[in-house]
Amino acid sequence: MSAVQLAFAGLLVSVILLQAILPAYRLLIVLAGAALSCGASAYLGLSSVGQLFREVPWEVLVILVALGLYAQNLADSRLFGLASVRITRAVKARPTGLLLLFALGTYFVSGVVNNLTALLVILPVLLSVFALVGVTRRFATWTLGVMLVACNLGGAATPIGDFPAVLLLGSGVMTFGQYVVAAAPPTFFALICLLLLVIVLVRPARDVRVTPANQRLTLAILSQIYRGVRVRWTLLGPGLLALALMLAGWLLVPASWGFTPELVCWIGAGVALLARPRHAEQLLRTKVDVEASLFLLAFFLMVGAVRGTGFFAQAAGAITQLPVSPGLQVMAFLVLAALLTGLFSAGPSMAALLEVAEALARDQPAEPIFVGLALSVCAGSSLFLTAATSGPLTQALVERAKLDDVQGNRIQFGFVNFLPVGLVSFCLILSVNLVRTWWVLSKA
Amino acid sequence: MRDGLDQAFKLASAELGMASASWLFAQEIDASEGEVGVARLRDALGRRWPVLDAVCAGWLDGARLPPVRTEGVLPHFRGLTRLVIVGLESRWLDRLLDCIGPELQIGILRHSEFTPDWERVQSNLGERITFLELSSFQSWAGSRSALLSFVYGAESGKSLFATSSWVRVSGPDTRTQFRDLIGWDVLGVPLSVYPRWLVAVPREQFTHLEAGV
Repeated sequence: MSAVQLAFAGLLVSVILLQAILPAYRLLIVLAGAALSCGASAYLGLSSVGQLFREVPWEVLVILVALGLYAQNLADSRLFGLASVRITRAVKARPTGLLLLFALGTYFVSGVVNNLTALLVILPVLLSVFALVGVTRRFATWTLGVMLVACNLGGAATPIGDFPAVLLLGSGVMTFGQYVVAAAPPTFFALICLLLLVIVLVRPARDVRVTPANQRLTLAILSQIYRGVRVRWTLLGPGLLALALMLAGWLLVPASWGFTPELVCWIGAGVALLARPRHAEQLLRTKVDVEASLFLLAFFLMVGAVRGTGFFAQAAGAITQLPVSPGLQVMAFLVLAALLTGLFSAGPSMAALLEVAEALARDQPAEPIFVGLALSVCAGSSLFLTAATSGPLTQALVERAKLDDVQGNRIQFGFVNFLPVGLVSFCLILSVNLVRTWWVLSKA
Repeated sequence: MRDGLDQAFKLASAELGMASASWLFAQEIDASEGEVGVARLRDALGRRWPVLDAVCAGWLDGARLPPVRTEGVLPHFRGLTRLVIVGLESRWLDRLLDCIGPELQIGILRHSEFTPDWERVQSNLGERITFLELSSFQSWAGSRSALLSFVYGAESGKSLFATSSWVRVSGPDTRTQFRDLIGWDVLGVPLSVYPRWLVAVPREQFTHLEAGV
């Protein structure tokens, strides 16, 4: 590798590290890093700034913004909050039932809306139920942890659930249908395995004492605090219609018509928003996720600058020159991707690693590599609380709820609390991913 | 009585109000454990939650969930265009909203010692409610505006108690800015332990004091 390649890659890694160490300044750090990369690239004559901006996958940003607005609109319909209340009633506030159904519910919701929105609509209900039922710290930690992992798995199950999959859809390497067929079964299988493992072996609910009086009281209070909350059909109806249109567009419209995934998403979100123009205007002015968009734009620019040096092609070349079979080379790449995601978080890792995956996919079947990468990123996102943006959000929501356990001790949900759940989930998801990828590669 | 019930009551009283939550607790515990359970509930939580203590004591003396009475307060709303409500008591608020026509604007002070989920509170009460902040509720003042506060303990004939939010809005400057200051007693049974969370206020602070039960 040349000094220039190492310098640009080093700058990218430094920025990734620094933003992970100082999350309060992460936007400032990545934008400064992007400016430095662009400036150095232009000065050295590798790529002009215009060239770097032209290489940014804008369609991915369009999908992210449109889906973010769509998800917010759907969340405002109150559907998910009320569904969470229904779940609690259905399991009669029994702890194991809560763990099981909330994890499954989170998985399905985060397949349709982004992870942050999914947690923002589901967690407040669950935390209220925790306060009403009276839970132990152990139960709360495992339940919240499993929910976070379910959120990551749900996000990886569809191409619209989370950023890594959106990137695959937006960059055109896979169609919507191909991705769902390939990714949904292993993510759901991993979730079921995790739930079985937690419920049967860890048994976090064993210390939670639930009496019929507890259940009755919990359900009565829950009914009262949600007594007047109704689904806003004026938001939900158009939202569901838009979702049906988007799914039809992604699955059925031929590519020759020119309706690319981002255009379908843009139109779909527009249909959902137009039904309530005033609400839509408010969302557009206040709820566009500028932070995430700028963050990813900065990374795309930095990755573009590194790509201009030929670093990624050489990194992929290094993997393909490993003295093992091509299948094992892919396995090594997937393990590395999972570990890097655990350390550096999903967005930056995926943006950089997709370049390597594309290079690897030139000589090997593309589908197992891309889906494997998405699942590895999902495993890595589940390793540490800091590896995905939904982790710190959950931590903040738990802190804000000022929840006590049955002994009156404050329930904390921090890095250390999540670690056991994270380690178990990481190993499980990565194992499922490796087995599946090996199986698909061996069939090809 | 199980551990952690205190937190459940705190959550319920934050969003439903202390009187509404107390009646709900007494009713549900009685349904599953009988009066023995209500007595245990009083022993466990009564000292910390005086309104619950009063309701449990009343329940053990034979009192049951009383119907909400609005006939006392409704005549005072005649001619008003704006009503600012201080405190949350879901049973009484729901009934009041059913009785008041759309011509009267209703604002609720968004202030509580506890931390209710205000978005959920808004969803329950409907879109006609406007939340007002401590810093700006006086923009609703005027000769056709009134303040209404839920009060506790009027039954005893001695002290009268209101929430700390009421103390914050009922300063001498505010009193002259509203046509009426209405106290609406929602307890109907006497308080017998030190009224934690509540503040004693003079009866004469209110232009009208009406029974809610």
